[in-house]
Amino acid sequence: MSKKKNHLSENNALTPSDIAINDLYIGFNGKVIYNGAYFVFPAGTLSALTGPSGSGKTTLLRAIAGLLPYKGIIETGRRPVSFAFQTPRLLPWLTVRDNVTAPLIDKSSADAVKIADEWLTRLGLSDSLDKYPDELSGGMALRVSLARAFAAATPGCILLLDEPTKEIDKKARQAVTEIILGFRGKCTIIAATYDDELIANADQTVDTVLNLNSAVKT
Amino acid sequence: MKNSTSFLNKIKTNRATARIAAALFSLIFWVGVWIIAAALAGNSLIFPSPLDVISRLYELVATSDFWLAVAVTLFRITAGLAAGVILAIPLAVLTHRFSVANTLTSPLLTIIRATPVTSFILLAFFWFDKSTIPVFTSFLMVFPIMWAGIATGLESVPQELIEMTQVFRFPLWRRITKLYIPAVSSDFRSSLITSIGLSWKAGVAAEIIAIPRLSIGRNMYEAKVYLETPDLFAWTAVVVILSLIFERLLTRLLKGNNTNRGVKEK
Repeated sequence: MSKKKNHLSENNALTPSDIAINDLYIGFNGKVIYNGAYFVFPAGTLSALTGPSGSGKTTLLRAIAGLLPYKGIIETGRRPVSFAFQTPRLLPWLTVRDNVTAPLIDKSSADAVKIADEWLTRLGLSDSLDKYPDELSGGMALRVSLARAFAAATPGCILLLDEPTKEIDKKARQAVTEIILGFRGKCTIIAATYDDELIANADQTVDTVLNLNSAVKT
Repeated sequence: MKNSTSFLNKIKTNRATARIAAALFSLIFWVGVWIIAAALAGNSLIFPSPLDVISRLYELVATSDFWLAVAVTLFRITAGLAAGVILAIPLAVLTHRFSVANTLTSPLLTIIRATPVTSFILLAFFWFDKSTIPVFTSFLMVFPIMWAGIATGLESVPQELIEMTQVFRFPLWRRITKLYIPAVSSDFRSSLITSIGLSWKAGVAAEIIAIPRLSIGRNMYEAKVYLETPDLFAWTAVVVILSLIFERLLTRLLKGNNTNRGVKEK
């Protein structure tokens, strides 16, 4: 099979802080998802992964996060990763606030609480700080998960977002989109998304829209 | 808002009252059955009445020997229970982490679980002194249950949450305290509650067979030898009461803060 490069890599030279994926092979259950794929995500940009369900968006994010075995090279420069998963993945025995502070390991507990409260407030969850995940709606739990990812996203990190605006109402979706755009230039953001709002005016919002059809996967 | 809160409180109070009433009714019913059975037997040597047992218990409680026997038995059972719990934790972690360890230890634990407790008590006569046999027996009852409970708890930690802690680079200590301990606590607690009852049963049985100097078991053995059936009932009641107190205390101690929320991922 021929190997094609995504359009980002054709014009730009690699910098050490880019995420460079070369000759990626991922397959499971007898199905090949990626076969010799090549991607480059330049540092500080926002890339949107699109494509139908099963096209490998989540697989690619999980591979970059080091959660999947793969063959090939994924060069991330050992930068810290912050990940908003497709499902909230909250610790059920911790409050909303504690779920957001939990990954902030290099902060004092007072600072961690301050950061958590700021993000949760921005995402409209200031009334739910002391609630537990089982007291939240699906959309609220997803926003907590986003707040955790944003709070843990330190400058220079890789911010992976798996359908960040799914199950979120329109008002909150706008706020989330603005926050994501605010991370441009600080983190390398890769978002798997169906969201029209995030990719509608691609030239203004995202730096790259990567449609994960077979052309870029092989 | 205030009205709905007071309404909820009212419901809670009513439920609590209903629970107490049900418990009282159950108690009265069984004491009634006991009184009838004792009256039918017509001989306190065969089946003493509740009054015989309570009056004997009242006499026993007034003696220092009673409290000494209770304290020493309590110590032995606690020691066996603690040893079982403490050793089960690393073994469960080990067998969860390494399948080789699991393969190696599984047959041993199956044998321990299947072997009659009296076999171990009799074998223990060759290995330990009389006062250590109840400790060993309690330990053997507790250890496989706790091991299995903790191992099950570790198995049930959702993979999604483990991945989350990996991605966010939780240090080991934070992973243990924020993920594993809360996730395992429910299985740990239920295994411990089962273990407490069994450790008392097995520990006292071992005391009855080994007859160490200061023990509840010795008193029960002597009651049997001297046909003091009310004494036997009184000591049995003491064991039941102690076991229940022990269970309640430990459950309350382990309740912690909100770790009883399920591991079902949200």
